[in-house]
Amino acid sequence: MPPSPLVVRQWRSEQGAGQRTIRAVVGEVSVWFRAPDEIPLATTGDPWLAVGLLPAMALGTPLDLRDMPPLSPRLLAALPVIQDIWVNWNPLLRRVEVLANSGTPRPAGTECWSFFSGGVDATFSALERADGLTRLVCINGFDFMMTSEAWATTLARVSTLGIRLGVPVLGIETNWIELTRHHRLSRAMSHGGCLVAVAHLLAPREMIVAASNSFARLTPWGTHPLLDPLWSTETTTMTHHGNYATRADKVAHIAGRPELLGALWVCHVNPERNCGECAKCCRTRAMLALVGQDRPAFPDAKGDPIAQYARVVAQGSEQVYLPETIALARHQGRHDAARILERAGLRLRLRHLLREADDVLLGGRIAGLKHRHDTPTDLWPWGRGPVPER
Amino acid sequence: MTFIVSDPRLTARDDGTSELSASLGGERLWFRVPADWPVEMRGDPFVVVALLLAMRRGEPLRIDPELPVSRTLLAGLGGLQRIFRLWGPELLAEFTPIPVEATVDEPPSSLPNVTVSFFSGGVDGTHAFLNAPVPVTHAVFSRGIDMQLDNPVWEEAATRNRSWLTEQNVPLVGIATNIRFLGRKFGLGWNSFNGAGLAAMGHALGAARVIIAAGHTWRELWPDGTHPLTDPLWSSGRTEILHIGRGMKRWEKLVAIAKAPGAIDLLRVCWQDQGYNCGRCEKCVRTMVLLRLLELHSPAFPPLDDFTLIGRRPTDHSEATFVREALDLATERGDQEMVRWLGLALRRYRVRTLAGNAKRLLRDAIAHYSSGESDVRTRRLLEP
Repeated sequence: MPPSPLVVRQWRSEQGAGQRTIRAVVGEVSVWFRAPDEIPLATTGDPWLAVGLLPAMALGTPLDLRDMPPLSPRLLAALPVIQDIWVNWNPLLRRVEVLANSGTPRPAGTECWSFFSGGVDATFSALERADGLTRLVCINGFDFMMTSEAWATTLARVSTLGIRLGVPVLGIETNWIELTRHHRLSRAMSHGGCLVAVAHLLAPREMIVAASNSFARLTPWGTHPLLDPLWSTETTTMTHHGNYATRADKVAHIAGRPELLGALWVCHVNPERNCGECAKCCRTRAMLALVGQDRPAFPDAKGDPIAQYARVVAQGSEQVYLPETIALARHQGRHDAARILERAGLRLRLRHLLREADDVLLGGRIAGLKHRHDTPTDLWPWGRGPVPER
Repeated sequence: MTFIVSDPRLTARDDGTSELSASLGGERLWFRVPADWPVEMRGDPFVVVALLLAMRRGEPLRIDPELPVSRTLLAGLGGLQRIFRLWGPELLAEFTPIPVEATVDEPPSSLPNVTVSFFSGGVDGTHAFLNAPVPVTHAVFSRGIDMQLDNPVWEEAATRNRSWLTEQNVPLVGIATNIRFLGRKFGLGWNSFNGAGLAAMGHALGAARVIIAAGHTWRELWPDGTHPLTDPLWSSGRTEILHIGRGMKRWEKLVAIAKAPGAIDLLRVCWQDQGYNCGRCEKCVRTMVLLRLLELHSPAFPPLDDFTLIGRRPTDHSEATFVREALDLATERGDQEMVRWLGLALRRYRVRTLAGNAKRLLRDAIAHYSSGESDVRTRRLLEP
């Protein structure tokens, strides 16, 4: 018996309290996106393809969008390659049939917008693409579901950064995270879908997605320089920007604009301010310290930023960024800092080596003892992985 | 010092070919195409090859004004430099961003209906030929890349390929070049610039579209000479470079090839210059194992009777990937003999990698703790 499709239905556009909400029911989950009333939201089916495709592929069932408004022919034509990429990245996904109505291409928009969380990647891209950038888009509900108060604080902070960049900030809210939790889709795999959905709701001429990784360290990820452009329509070009710079390059570049640093927000623990203790805060603080600019972004942080980052490195979460931080230290003539970080790197390599030895020589018995009581893991690039922070 | 591309020549040769050549940094690069192929002397094929060589030397690149370069290509070179700068450590070469000085133009293609696909009879090329997004009008069989310039088997392979392609109503075009050997003179292995090399041949032919077949899937996106990120950036306003075939594993491509009458009989994957397929090298064995697992037969290969060849250790992560794919297939098909030998190969690879990592870690730790100034190389810090 063929699997029953994941149906997206009951598409609605609602207005009230100065806001417009677009919603549809995706399988069993009602998914909505909300924007200020003065922002026109496109009424195509394109966003719902981005919403429904990954859950359908995870379920291995067809995606039925026939109850949705028509979709971009260009986007529908790109589906085989998008699915090829995903099934190769994650063996638990399946290629699925997409049932949808193809529409007449709409004329291209006129503006260039960029997603913007106020972090390092987004700020770097906003600086680099400043010429012609007319709007920054900040989203609540795809990695955090902030309370109204926290969201207001965050939006005010990000807007301050926007003012300093000379570009207004638009806040968009969604309950996307409920869909990904329902299907146990990791943020690493799924967040690109949310960005694409919002891009096609707003439908500017070009929507910029700031790169998370440099060309040197590309990994399967929800946003990717090979994936994002495929989500373009005749109306909106999706641009993945900034892979040519390492994180250290980006931090050093932003530090050249000290007035931005006070509003820079990198923390994934505290949505209101940089905690100064999590891995992302420690990394960014160390990089800023190497260029002599750590105080504005981390006014309350205590302790030596390099030593603190070295401790975080030893916990194993910073393998991508350590070499470039060391290179930055050397470039800045901070050989003392480079040596501290190199020692942290050597310890990390030793940990990796022992883990590898357990895997190769003992068949992972030690790791098996350690993890035997772990909870089931979420759908992650490369199969199932750790449960992401929520 | 400046890396200069100069002294362009277009020569009719006695062997029935036309030779396009130019001096690149003092070394001569040439392409020989059939005399009846309409060639045009432009800078595009030469700048494509010269870019990485000049970046390797860290020298500004200047192209002779007699050799105009496509404006689109010149813009793409900027993107390529940004990528290769960061890929250098993985490709075991340092690529320094450099300025490029050239006279630009953007004439339309003089062969707008021509789509070429590189075709040597191998798995990737044959699959790309059969599954190209646009119909292939000409199959290009190169000499000097996988087969040495003086390899007599080239004629046999060309005859067999031509015969099969004739049934598909597609002519075979032979092209010879010293591009692979030129890279070596500048300390650049073919695997670091094979995408550039293939694109350069496409530009030399002036085709409107050039298809480069992927060797790996979307999963294996490590820095490589040919890559879905970089290959399209070698395009000009006249010649579009397409990188296709990432959606399928090698065995899936073989299944698709087997459905095309006669295609599997042609298969020639060997780079050893020892007959049509030597039957003993890694590429031959990799293909023979898959044929066995898929219960397919190709007369182009000797029987697979020495299983110890399967258990050999893969030499790098690319080869290890193919072993992993074959092992998955063998497990799925329940071929316990293959599971055993492929598992052995993979285990040998992992043990060797572990030993190499341990050795490097020890060496770097000694260097770090025994010197005031560390000489631990940053790029090594997080291997593997």
